[in-house]
Amino acid sequence: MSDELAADRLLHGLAEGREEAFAELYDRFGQRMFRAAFGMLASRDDAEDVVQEVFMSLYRSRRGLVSVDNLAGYVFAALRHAVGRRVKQLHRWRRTDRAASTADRWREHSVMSAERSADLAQALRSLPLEQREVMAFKVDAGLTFAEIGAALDMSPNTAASRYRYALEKLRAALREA
Amino acid sequence: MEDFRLPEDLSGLEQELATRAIPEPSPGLRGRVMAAIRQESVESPAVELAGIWRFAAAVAAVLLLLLNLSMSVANHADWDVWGRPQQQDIASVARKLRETVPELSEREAFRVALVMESGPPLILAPCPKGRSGWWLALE
Repeated sequence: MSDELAADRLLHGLAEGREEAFAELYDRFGQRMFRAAFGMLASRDDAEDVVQEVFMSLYRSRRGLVSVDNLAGYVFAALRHAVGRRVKQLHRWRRTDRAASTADRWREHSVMSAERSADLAQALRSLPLEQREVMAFKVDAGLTFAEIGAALDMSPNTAASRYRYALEKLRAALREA
Repeated sequence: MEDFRLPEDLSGLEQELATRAIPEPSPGLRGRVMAAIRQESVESPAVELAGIWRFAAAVAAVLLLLLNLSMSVANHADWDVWGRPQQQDIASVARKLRETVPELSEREAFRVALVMESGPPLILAPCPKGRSGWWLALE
C-alpha cells in the first residue's frame, strides 16, 4: 500500500473515531510529540499531559481530519497550541517549583556533564517560546522544515530562518553563561 | 530545503542538542491516552445528544424573541391608515363636526377633533340615548 493510500486510510479511520486509527496515530507521532513537548516545557509530567490533551482534542475534532493535507503539520500545530496553553497556565499558577527545578530535570536526564547540561537548559529557557518550538520540532521531533512550516503556519524557508536564528541566540546565550 | 546548511559551530550545537538525553515518556502513556479516548467515545454520544437539546433550546429562544419583537413592532408601528389631520386642520375638523352634528358644543367638537388628531380613527356608531342618526365614536 502506498504512503498516500495509507495516510488516506488513517485519516478516514481517525475521522470515524476508530480506536485502532488513534493507536496508529500515537505509534506514528506520540514519541516525537512527547519529545517536542518536553523540549519546550522541560517537564515530563507537563509533556505527557500535553500529549494526552492533543489526542483528546484530535478525537473531539475528528470529523474535520479527512480534509487535512499534512497530518504531521496538523498534529504538531495542535501540539504547539496545547503547549502555549500549558505555558500560560504555568505562568498563571506561578508554579515556581517547576520553573526552578527545570535545570535539575535537564541535568537528571542528560548524559552530558551536569554543568553543560544545566547551561544548555538555562539557555534554552531564555529563548522565546516561538524559537523554542521551532527548535523542539526540528531537533527533538525530527520534523522537516516543510512539516514545521505547516505546523507553524509559515513557509519552510521562514521556518529554516527562524531555526537558524534560534540556534544563534542559543549560542550567544551559552557564551554569556 | 535540502540545501539548508549551518555553519560548523551551529551545526555542532545542533548536534549537541540532538544528542542530549530526553526522558522517555512513561510506559503507561500510550495506555493512558487510549483509555482517555475510549472514555471520550463512551461519553460523546451523550454529549452530542445534549448538544442537540441545547440547539433546540437556542432555536426556541430565538423564535420566541423574534415573535416578541415582531409583536412589539406591530403594536408600536404608526400605520397611518386613516391619515392624521394636521395641527392647523383641527379647527376645520371641529367645524365640520359641528356641521355634521350641530348639537355638539364648540368645546366638545374641538375635543373630538383633538382625539382624532391623536390617532384612533372615528367610526360611525348608533346614537345613544334614543337619538336618531349616527354618532361618531372612537373605535
